[in-house]
Amino acid sequence: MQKPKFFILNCSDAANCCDKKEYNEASVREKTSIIIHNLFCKKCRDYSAKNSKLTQLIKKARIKGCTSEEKKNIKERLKQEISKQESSSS
Amino acid sequence: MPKHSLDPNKWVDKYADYLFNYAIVRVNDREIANDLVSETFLAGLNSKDNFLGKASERTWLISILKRKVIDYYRRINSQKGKAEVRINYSDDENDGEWLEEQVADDFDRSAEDEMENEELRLAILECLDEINPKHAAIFKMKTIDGADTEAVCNEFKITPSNLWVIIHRARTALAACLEKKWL
Repeated sequence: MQKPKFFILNCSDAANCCDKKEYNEASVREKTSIIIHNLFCKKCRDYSAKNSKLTQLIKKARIKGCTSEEKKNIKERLKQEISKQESSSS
Repeated sequence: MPKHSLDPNKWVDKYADYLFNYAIVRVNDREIANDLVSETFLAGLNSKDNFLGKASERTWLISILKRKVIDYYRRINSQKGKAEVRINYSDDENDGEWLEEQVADDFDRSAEDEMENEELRLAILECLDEINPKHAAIFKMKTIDGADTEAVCNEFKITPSNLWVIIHRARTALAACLEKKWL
């Protein structure tokens, strides 16, 4: 993405900045540009609202994922079992 | 109605998170939840000939996991008296720690909230199941595990701008799906 000139963004760049903002990775310049863009663009305003709501919901759900290591362990156990079954059936 | 079939090789990637979340709220311990999930997969594998194809893979696995959770509680309560809750603060070793144990839960957290959260959690995971698997994996790593942009890019060998496009698509798809399922 190019740096916005005079804080003017097109919609796809605005959406991109908006996503970054949800992960706290947008620069001050990008944040300001979104605010200005959102003043004029209803579509992006709606998207921003939806996007922050999604972040809130995910935070609220407090999803606990398996770590990749734990998954690897399970996978290995499952693989062993599958190969055992295959060898016994053949 | 299409007949469902089983594909054990993809189970871990597709359902591990879903089952893990289901288990952890019930047993409240990471390690045990993990064991239960892997036991579920193994049990599923062993009895895959009994799968009739009427339910989806996930429903079938969840029903196995349910039995596993019940079995787990039976096992730990099998010795007589273990099911009782004992309150005993005369223990010298824990001197002074009883106060911390007595702290009230947050006022704004009720049982209904917890239940709603669990439903929401499972709804989100179900929706993640429905979107493009690669996008879902990247989205999970970035949003749920909270990994750095750089780490995600290295893991999946993509550029940052690529990552943001994927995140955008995943978010849009997820929002649309959740709107249907949740709101």
